[in-house]
Amino acid sequence: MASSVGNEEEKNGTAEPVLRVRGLTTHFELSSHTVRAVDGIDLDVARGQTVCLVGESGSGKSATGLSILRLVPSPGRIVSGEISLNGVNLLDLDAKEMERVRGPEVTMVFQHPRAALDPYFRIGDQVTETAAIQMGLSRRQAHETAREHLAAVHVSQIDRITRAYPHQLSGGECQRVMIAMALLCRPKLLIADEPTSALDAKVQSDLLDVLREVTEEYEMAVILITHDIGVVERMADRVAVMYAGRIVEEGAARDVLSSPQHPYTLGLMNSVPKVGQRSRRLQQLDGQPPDPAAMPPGCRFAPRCAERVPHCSEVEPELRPVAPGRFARCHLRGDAPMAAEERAVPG
Amino acid sequence: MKRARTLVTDSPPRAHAGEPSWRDSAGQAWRAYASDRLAVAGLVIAVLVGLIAIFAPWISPYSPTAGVGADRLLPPLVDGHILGTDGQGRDILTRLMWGARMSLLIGIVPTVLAFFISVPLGVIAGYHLGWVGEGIMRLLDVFLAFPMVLLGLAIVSVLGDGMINVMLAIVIIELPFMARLVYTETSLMRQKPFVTAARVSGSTTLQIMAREVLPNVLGSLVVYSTTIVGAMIVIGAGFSFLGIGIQPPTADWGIMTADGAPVLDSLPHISLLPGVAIIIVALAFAWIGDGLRLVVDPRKRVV
Repeated sequence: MASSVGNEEEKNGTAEPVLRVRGLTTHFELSSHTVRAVDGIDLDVARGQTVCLVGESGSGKSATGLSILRLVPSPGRIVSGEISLNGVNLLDLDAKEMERVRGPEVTMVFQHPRAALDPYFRIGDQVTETAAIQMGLSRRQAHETAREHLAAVHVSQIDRITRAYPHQLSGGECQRVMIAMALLCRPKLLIADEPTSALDAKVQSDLLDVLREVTEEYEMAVILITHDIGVVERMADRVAVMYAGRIVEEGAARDVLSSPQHPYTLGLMNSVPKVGQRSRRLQQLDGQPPDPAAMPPGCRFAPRCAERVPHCSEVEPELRPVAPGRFARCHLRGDAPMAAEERAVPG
Repeated sequence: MKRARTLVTDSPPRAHAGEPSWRDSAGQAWRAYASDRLAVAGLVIAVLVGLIAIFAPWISPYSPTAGVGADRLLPPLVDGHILGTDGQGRDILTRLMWGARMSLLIGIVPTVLAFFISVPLGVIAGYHLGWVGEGIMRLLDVFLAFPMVLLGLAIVSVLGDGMINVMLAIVIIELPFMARLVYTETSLMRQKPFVTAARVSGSTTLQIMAREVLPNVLGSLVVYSTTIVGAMIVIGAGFSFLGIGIQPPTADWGIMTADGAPVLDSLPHISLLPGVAIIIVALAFAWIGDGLRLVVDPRKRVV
């Protein structure tokens, strides 16, 4: 890991970002109501930077990822916003141009790797074909390249893997294959949607190492979607915490993890056991995320918030700076950061 | 066992190690197929009947159409007629051999035609769920509304009898079923995560159709087509039996069954033998279809 000043700058997102999302809004228009899955999101990801999108199920993390690829399944629709990838607004492209962006510019790795592989073809054929198409190689060259990339993600017994069908591999092996295939595209931006959530702890850990290794080697911008604080700790340069379609807190990973500002982030952190801490009762976040059909009028987290004041249920807070490079969407933060620190100590 | 095989295949570092060879794949496919004994039996029967059909002119002992008046209605195992003779003194074994030609033609040719027509129709309808797809499918649904045999009867009575028209009728009977299968599989396929994964890596719609959707759909269709061949042989024979299909004196199993009907109580073999032949061949294709199911889907293989 290089640690030059320039690199540090990049990690903090001050360099020109690879991805620049502004006001992204994605709705799912159901017959009875509209689900605002993504509701005005701003996000920057710089070259070589890993941004973790954190939140509960249904908070809009995956919808954000799919929106960037413009693959929101119907009845979902990107309503407004701007998604600039290397200066090009993806929302201005037609379907044909978008096909050329997917792959060499941005690609995605999914949560269920086995399902993302075609069950009727051997792994070797699938990877080789991707190599041939993505890199314009001959069959023979593509075959070699495929093997190199499988080696790069530390697949053991490459011969066995290439001959196998997806159902003959373990989940971890399938995910390594998926990462290898994503690498073949040499994307500027990789979106990984819960890439390790379906795997057990040891495999998960190995896979995160692989992911870190390859994304660093190619200096990819990475959006890592996860609900796992442990994954955030290991991988993230920056963190954006999502709740009910909005970003409620954003900042450098170590800052957010060490002193969470938004009460929701705090709740998330407190619900995770920590190594080296005396066993204490984990605190749970009471209640459920709001019904997307009936969002609360004020702060969307207010109904579950332990710190709420009457104002919270009336006016929705803006995402405001609370410290350099840090933002939180909370009435109680920003103007009185000291008060926030005091509240952050679990009582 | 699996472990041992891995070791053996992995140890010699070949130039193209790891690339599954064609022979390798074929071997695995055959093992999968052979694991179903009935499928093997079906294949043996089909090949045998196929050979008999091809070589009927040379191996059949008598003429299939010209009978000997003096040898009418002989029971089996008499005077060189192993399976006896029919009401016009024609050798039943000979007619069975020639009849195999008709049955196989009527079962296979229309199915192959319907196969190639149904694939583009179904894939287009399944992938572009717009008005084009709706139009195609609704049109085919009209045909689905009629019972198979009734539809066939209606078509043949409009077109007139004869082999070609029977085949046409069978194509029209099969098409809605096969196109619907392709349509359903395609529309299921387009939502599969691996299709999304292909899109994510920049595949165009055409590439996805050719590389992800089509191979998966074709597998199911091959299985279905094989199975349906048997059913179509039965229907084709049914038309002949009713006198609206292939016309006498052509040797056809359906006609032969009908010929024997008047003497069914005294000389049942005249109807029974071609009837049994129809059943055996129809079953054989159904069994082959079942076996192919194992070949087509690698997940069903027991290795």
